[in-house]
Amino acid sequence: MKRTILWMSVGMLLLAGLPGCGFKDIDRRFFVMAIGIDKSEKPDKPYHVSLKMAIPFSKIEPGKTNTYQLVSDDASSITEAIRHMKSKVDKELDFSQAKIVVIGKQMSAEILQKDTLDWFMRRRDIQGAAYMALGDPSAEEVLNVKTDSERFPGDSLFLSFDHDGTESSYIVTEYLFDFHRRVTEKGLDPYLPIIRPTGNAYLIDQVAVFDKTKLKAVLSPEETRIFNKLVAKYQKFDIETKTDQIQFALNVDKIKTNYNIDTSEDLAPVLHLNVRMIGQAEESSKSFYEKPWSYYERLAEQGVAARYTHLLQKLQALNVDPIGFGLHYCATHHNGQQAEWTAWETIYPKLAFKPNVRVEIKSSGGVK
Amino acid sequence: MKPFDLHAAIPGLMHSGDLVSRGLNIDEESVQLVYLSSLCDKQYLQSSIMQAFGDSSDRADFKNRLSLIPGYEQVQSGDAAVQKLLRGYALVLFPDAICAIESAKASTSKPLDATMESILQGPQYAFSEDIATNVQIIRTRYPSKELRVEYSVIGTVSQTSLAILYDASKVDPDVLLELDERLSKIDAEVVQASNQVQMLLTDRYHLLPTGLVTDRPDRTVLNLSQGKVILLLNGTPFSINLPAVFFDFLDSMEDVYQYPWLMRPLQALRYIGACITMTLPALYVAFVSYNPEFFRAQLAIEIAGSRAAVPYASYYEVFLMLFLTEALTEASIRLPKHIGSTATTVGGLILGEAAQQAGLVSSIMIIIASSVAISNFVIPINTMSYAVRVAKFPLIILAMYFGLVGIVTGIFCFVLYAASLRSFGKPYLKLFSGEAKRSR
Repeated sequence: MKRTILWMSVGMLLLAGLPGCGFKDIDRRFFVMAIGIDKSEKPDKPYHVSLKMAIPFSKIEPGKTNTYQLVSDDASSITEAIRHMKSKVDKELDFSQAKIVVIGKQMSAEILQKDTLDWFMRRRDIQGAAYMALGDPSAEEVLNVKTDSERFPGDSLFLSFDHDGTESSYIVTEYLFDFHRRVTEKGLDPYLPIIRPTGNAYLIDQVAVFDKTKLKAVLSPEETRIFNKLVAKYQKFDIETKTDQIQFALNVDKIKTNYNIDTSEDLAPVLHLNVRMIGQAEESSKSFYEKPWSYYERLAEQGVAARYTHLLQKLQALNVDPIGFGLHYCATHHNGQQAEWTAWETIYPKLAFKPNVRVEIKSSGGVK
Repeated sequence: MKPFDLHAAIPGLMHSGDLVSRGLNIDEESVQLVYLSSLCDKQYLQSSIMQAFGDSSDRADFKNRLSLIPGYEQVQSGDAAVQKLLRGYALVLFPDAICAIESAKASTSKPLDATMESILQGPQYAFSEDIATNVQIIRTRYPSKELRVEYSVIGTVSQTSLAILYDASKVDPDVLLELDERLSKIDAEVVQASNQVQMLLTDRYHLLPTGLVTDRPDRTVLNLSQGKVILLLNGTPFSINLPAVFFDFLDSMEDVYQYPWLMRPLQALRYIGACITMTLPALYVAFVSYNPEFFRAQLAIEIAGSRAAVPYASYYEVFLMLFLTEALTEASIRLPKHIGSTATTVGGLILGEAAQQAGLVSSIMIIIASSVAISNFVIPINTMSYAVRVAKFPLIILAMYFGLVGIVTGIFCFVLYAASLRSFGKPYLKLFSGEAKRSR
């Protein structure tokens, strides 16, 4: 008995030198921070994959420790490219921190094909909550930017998209899982924010809308802000109102949106969009201290409603539906045998938009 | 006049150097006084036996006077007489009888400072090393007519006396029965420590303690009032409280004395501490070597950077640092108090820092090693703290081979094991062991 225990413990001690098979120390891994997919010029190797890999530092300092290694490869598939790239680096590639996937603008039609996205969804170490964006002019150029404020490579992009750092109403966030869903879901179309490198910084103020096969249009920054409200339920907004008498700006910090589709009249379906905004005056050419502010509220409402209508009509003209009106319609008008979808396809082009905006001014924003 | 046959009366003790044997003569009759000088109080002998002897007119009168002295007993010759002698009795040998008079020296043992479980505001004294003093302490603190004290001996050679105390109105009779049964099965030769008794009463190979050993009289009395059985062993300043479940070991006496708003968070801190000290080193190995996706990107880069100087796999540095901290803890317990502080300074400050600068361990490992050590010290009861110290090593080995999955499995097995334990019939992981509200 005692002898068996002795031998067993000696065996255990010897085994202690041998770790398990998934064992790979953190310093033997190369953390891929961002993945870029571009279209290459070679027809037999259409995928130009770039990886931005972080070089580890023991002490993080902004602007100094964001050194990275950018590796690219052309191949016939993403898998092939990654496999070949492993021969270019000295450590094991680890995608567990790859929080952003940038698609080159040239590649935008291909990414909608299901098998391209498949690679991202299948790999267990790429998070479904990774951000997706479109790189203009190319993904590689976006990846190759080194901003001065970054603490580690890719930090700027992560902070921009997760609303943890900057909170801009121009930045639309799109996640990998959501994009994948939109590519396949009927009545809900994909969109991607566009990142434009500007020297050693980024500009993210546009959004690209897709139908199920290709990029349809790029929205202007002003349209992007409204888009952000509607699609991402983004809560921060500001309203500029300018008339001959007064010019004022409201800072809105609470927005409630809901809509319903009224098809009681077959020929003239209407979408009622109810928006309620609560905010305070931020800038004004007139003093703003006394209530009632209803006059200014009505002025602001008119401006906002016009902007909503403009965007909705533009999306309608493009025949894209990133807000998911179609999905909403199908979910609430079940008709068996997918008849509701064909019904929606005829309804959408003739849908009239009636935004009903209510602005409430909470305070004048100043102390008398 | 024939001399007394000491060989027959007290077999085996004749050659003890401290045996005093004196013949006392009254007229023509004689008696023999025998006692062990190292155990008996000479002053008392003088004032009781000698006084009685001086006043007596003959042997029968002397015998009558002796029987009036407190602690008088008649014993048979042979082993019974020897036992009495060894307990500090003086024997007076008459031709037809042996009288034993209790004359043991009064105990010099005083209550000690409570050092094992210090609390800030509350009783500051612990038990003493003498069983009579300890029983007296408990009787004073718990003056209830229901308090029962039973004496027994333990250890075939050491014959250490053991007091069993309980509140008859509250005690669970099943616990008493099981205790009697287990006590009768103990066949150890020498029993000297409370932890030893606790181990003998339960399974020798249990990882977790199922009897609570404490040096605090207040905790003991609280347990008495909760219907537990208390064992006091002569020669140790500790009481054994039975039954004891897991949650008793993470309770400090201050929890009872302070407002719940202050103590509940501190109690939570203790449970978190117990979890940290058990799992943190294993989690480090798992996260660094199997699942770095757990870390935020910045932390992952920093850890990778600080590990860049370390040429060995993560578990080597974990074992190295744990060895250092465990050795330090052990050294500071075993070393004389004056050298102990030097050892901790040398070990803690110099080795930790130097090991990191020499590139043997990463800087984050130093933090982990120290938080493991500190979290371990928040567990109030020493035996539980030992158990948790041991339990972390199997988890590290599991983490080495199977990563996070291994740790989850290990913790699951640990909980299973703890749930399978019974402390004198009480489930070990039972949350509220039915204690009365009035006891707090």
